[in-house]
Amino acid sequence: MTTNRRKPPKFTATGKITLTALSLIGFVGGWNLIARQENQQAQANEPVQVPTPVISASPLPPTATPWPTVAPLAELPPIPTLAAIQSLPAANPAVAINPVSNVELAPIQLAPLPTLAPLPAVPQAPPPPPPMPVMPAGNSNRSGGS
Amino acid sequence: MVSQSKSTAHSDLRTILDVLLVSLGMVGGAVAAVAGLWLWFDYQASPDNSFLALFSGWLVSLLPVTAQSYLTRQTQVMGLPLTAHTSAYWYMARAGGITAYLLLWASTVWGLLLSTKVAPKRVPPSLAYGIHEYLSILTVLFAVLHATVLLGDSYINFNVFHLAVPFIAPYEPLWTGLGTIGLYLTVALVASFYLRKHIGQRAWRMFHYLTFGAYLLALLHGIKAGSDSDLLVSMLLYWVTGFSVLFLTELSIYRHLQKHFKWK
Repeated sequence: MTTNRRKPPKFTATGKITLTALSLIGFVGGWNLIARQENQQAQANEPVQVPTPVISASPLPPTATPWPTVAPLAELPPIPTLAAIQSLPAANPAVAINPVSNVELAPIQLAPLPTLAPLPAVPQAPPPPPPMPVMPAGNSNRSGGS
Repeated sequence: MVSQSKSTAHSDLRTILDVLLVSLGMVGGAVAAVAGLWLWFDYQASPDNSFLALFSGWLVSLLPVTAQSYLTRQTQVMGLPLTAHTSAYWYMARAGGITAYLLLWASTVWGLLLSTKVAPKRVPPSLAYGIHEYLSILTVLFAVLHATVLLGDSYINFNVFHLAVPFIAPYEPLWTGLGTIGLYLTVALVASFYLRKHIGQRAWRMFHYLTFGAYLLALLHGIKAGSDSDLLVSMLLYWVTGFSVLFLTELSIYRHLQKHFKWK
């Protein structure tokens, strides 16, 4: 009489496939959750954009005063700008004073200052008049009176 | 004499079959590796027109329209397709790391349940051992995935040496290095399953105690180098898993001392 011994159950391919599938589902699910959490954080950190108000032009009433139009300004000449020279700081006191700046400014060409014309020569002052003689007392040539 | 020659011929045939199977396995593995590399470079050269894109597009077209739109939204959320500056690599690395850690925890806990005889007695030893072994294999696979996808991330720019050599990574070199050592230890522990007959039961058992070291390194790597460690969910996960392993380890030591010193 033979007895059929049951073979001990092993961890079969079905079990391995099931465990692998569960691990993969966990991995993809974790990936999705992490991505969602990062996107929510990124949206929360974005600065709040104030919606620009939309101004709709309302039609002018027929009795509105027509505003005078302003003539366009004449084309202005371009504002002169200083040319930047990218160079090593030379022995330039401007660069030495401002070490942060690494752009050497071009020397400003100023127009020569007007010089004052010499003052006209002052005429010589006339000589002072001679002093008046001092008259004695009682002797006086007085005219008039008797 | 006849039976001896028959058994010799039988063993020779088995040896030839073994060699053939191993060779087929190696050739198959090499073909799979070359095919994987070709698919990867083909995708990188032109993501929209690659074989992977066309095949996945064909698969998606088999689904209903609502499922297609849902799948498209989900792939956009997850950072797909895998272009140069996508964050999908970083997300995959984090998800792969957490999955590998949970598989390592499950394998360690299952092994402790077996050794402390807390595991249900209805689970046959061969089945229990098979689950324990397969969980550790999956741990290694997902840990390798966790490290490999970092090669595609353009934010930190890991290279192969940063991943393979401990303590030289550009991101948290100390804690990343501990994770690298933990992975190598886990690979060695899995390999020891197949070398047990050659190294002996006692030596295998002593070597197997290094599992606690591998688990501790993975836990430290996750807590210190993980970018999700500040989240409450992650902290709870580390506390629960860490304490469960600690509790079962103490129970195992107690049972061992109880048996050794014949405590009641």
